[in-house]
Amino acid sequence: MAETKRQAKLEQWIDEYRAIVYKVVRSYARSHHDRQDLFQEVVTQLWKAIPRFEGRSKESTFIYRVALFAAMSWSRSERRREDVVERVGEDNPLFIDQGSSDSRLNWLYERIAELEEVDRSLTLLMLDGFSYREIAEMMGYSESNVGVKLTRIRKKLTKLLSEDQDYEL
Amino acid sequence: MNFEEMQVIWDAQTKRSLFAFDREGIRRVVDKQASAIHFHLRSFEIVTISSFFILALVVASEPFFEKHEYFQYYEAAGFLIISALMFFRARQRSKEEARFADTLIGEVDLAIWRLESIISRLKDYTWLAIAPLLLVWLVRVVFELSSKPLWLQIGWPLFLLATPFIFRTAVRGKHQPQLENLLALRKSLRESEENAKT
Repeated sequence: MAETKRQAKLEQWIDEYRAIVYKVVRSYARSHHDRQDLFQEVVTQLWKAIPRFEGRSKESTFIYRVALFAAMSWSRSERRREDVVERVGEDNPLFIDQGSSDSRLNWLYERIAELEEVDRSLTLLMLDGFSYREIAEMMGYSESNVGVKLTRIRKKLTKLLSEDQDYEL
Repeated sequence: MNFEEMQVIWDAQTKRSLFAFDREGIRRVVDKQASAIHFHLRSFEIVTISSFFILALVVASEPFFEKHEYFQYYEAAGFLIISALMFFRARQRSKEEARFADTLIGEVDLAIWRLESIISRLKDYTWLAIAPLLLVWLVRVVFELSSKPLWLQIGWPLFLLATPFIFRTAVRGKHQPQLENLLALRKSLRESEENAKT
């Protein structure tokens, strides 16, 4: 694929599926710098994955999978700060968060970020309305195991909600 | 707030602009990635295949310009065989990429397989590429078939002998830690599923 076409495809994906990119970045990276790093990593992985997209799955599913893979491998990398292709300065950020004004939503992202890395992925997919079957297919798990895990996660989040009175509606 | 209300808050966020991004900055990131060819297996393969192919052409054409030496045709044939062998291995690898599942675990498996391929290629090429080049140099020196200057006759094998160390450093410094991270991630994904059964 020609580089210009590939670049255009990447920008189209980020534009069209910015909600997916945003949710993954917010759930796996907590600080401003980490979000810059992770956003770059997601962009890089998406760019690398473009030639592999053959339309066997929906674009949104493919992008979710690649973004989750990028986030999970990024969060494991001890040397991630040194590996960043280009360090972005404070005054010239690649990724400018505009969606964090709701304190309840911020609270929810904080709780998601406290979950184990695999559970974070499952939670994102559950909150985004994917069925157990779809999540199982995307993760490579069995549907029953996804069901068990999501039930546990839901219970855990509900318990945290009841414990934290500050964020009552 | 209950779980259903939490879902409403979650769904409401997509109505916002969420984030802005710097298009020029993304282009710079992508350009840097594209230029970092040593990290891409396909680029590594293309470079080595074409290098041996060009080397074969150069060696075969040398007799036209200098004194005719029959052994150069054997060298050219040898380089051509190496280039062809590398080409078929690269094609085989491309076909194998398609066997990975369209899942997150498949994504991790593919990344692991690619890194393992890079590491094994770097190790293999020590023998497949460097050994024949050293052999050619040895034959030329021992039988005094080369008219190249002394610095080149000494510098060339030194460069070749240093190459495996450069490869090994690249593997240790870059690829091995990445591989370990990914193996740990795969283990974590599999353990997470196992935990659901207990």
